[in-house]
Amino acid sequence: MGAQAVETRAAEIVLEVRGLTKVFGSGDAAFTAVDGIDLTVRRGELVIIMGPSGSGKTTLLTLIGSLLKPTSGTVHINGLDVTAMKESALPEVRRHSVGFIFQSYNLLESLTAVENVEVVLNLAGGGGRTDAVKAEQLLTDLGMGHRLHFKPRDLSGGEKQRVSVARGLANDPELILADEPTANLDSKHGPEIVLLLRAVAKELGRAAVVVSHDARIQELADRILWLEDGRFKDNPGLAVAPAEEKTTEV
Amino acid sequence: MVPLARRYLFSDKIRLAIAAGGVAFAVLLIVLILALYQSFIDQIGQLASAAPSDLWVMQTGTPDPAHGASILPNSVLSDLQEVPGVAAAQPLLSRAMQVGNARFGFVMAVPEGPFQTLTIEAFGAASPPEKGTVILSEVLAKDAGVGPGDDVDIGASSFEVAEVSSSLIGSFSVSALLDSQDAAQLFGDPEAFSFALVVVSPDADPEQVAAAIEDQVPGTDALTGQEFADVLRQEIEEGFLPIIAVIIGLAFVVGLAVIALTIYTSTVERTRDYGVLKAVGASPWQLFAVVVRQSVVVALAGYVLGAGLGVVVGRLLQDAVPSFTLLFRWQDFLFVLAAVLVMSAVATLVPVRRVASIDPAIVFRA
Ligand SMILES: Nc1ncnc2c1ncn2[C@@H]1O[C@H](COP(=O)(O)OP(=O)(O)OP(=O)(O)O)[C@@H](O)[C@H]1O
Ligand SMILES: [Mg+2]
Repeated sequence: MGAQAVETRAAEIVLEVRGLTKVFGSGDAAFTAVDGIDLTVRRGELVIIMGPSGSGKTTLLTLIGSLLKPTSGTVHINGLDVTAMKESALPEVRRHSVGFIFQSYNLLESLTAVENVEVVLNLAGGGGRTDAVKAEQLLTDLGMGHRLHFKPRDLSGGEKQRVSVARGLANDPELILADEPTANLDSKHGPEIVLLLRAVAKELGRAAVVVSHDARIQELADRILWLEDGRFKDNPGLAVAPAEEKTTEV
Repeated sequence: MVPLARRYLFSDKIRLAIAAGGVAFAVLLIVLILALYQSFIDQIGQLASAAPSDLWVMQTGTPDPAHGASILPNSVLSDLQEVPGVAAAQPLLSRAMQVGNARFGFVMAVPEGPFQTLTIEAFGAASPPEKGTVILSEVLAKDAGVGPGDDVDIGASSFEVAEVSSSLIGSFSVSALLDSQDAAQLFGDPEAFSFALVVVSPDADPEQVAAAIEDQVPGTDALTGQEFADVLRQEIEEGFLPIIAVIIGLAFVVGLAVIALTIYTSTVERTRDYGVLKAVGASPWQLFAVVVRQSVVVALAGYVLGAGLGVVVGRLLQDAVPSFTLLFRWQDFLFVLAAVLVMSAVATLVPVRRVASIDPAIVFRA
């Protein structure tokens, strides 16, 4: 892919979040976990969201991934307002537009590495041998060609997270959402995974939002956002904080 | 296609074996009970068709030979001949008595006469029993532990077994055929018989002739062969059907409970998996299909195992217990298959609801 192509595609907005708010509970017990968040992410971008424990990072990611209904605000993915969609239409969105990667991998223990990837391809309606071939190809591309038929319990953390990345990428989603993908990995394998996500964003023209506490990966981000009490804050302490991008985005 | 349902099912082989075994047990029970019942019903049908008479005439109020002895004076035979439409009337002697040590059998005899409608062939015997001998049905012979040439006690007398017939007719396959003079002596009244088998003339209507008989020969009931068989069948149905229904119902509940528990626990164990699948875009129906498939596989495995065992165990029981006669019909196997599929469907109701209620956001909880 030429530099020209990357630049034009980079202009496309994949994720647009406006006024996103989530209130848990009601009355006296009401608690605002996510508070009027605005966020725009374009193709080729890797955005890292950091913040203290309990600041609402996971809740925000859950809302963006349409796994949780917001109290107010909108989420557009590829121009589609997913917050306005009926529950029955959401599986389709999750299948094709969003790829998830989790801290605890969430692989299906009964399935092999390649089957864990293949099973989400099956969900999209394939089911034939092509799904298996594609799953094998994806894992091989991620350096897991020698572990295709291993069960998750026989894989290392880093290997499991690679399978999880392959699964997240399987249906070619425009948006990749990762919650603490490095938290269970050591200082070698943690950055490796984020580097992988960065390469995916850059080379395949995807948008990636990564939630992390992990200072080791800050330098890999195009932008770092600091979440506190459900809102984005300026944080001068951050190692990398491209100032002009933040003002346009937040 | 990743065979998710199969992977889940086979990931715990012991649980799968217990579940399939439980269903198999239920199927085995249902198959045997139905075969036992069908065999009774079938023998009654044989009785009605083996005696080629149009009408059965008996003492009023004693249509059921198992519960009341019909005793008619010999004069009834000549009275019957007077009734218009009666072509022939053949007497039959029959009484429920102990044969050998304990077992009750239908002791019968067919006096020879000019209008022989019930031939010895109908009893499945080679020749009529001579005086002092008896032809035993296989079940009675096995039960009494006697064979050809042995002596067997019937009432106060002893008879030599002339023949053992596998198709000797009579209710429940327990019958003994005597010489008619022996029988009359044994029953205590040489001037009486039990049933008259009546053949009506070709131009007469059996129903009308039956009405005429009851009208003109006092103290008799006249039933068509079908009605007579129905009386006997009803007897069995009244006695057995409620018991059969209860046993089949219980077996069904056992099978259902085993499948439901298996699928439910398997589903609860996989709560996270189902949540992950939801998060990555599985529709509720795709997940229900995974649950239902597991249930159907357990049910079908149990069915095949249970039906196969049913046939084998049935054969063994039949050999060990002579009176345990079975009739396997393909309709019954289809019925059990349908019951098993209903079981598997009902068993998924709770697990499916459980899957539907799983919140995909759990995937973000560590
Ligand atoms: N389902 C819920 N019901 C009520 N409160 C909730 C729920 N989910 C999250 N919260 C609350 O919302 C706040 C934000 O939680 P969240 O998990 O988003 O934090 P986080 O930034 O991801 O924290 P961490 O870094 O520890 O993962 C917390 O105070 C949490 O207790
Ligand atoms: Mg979190």
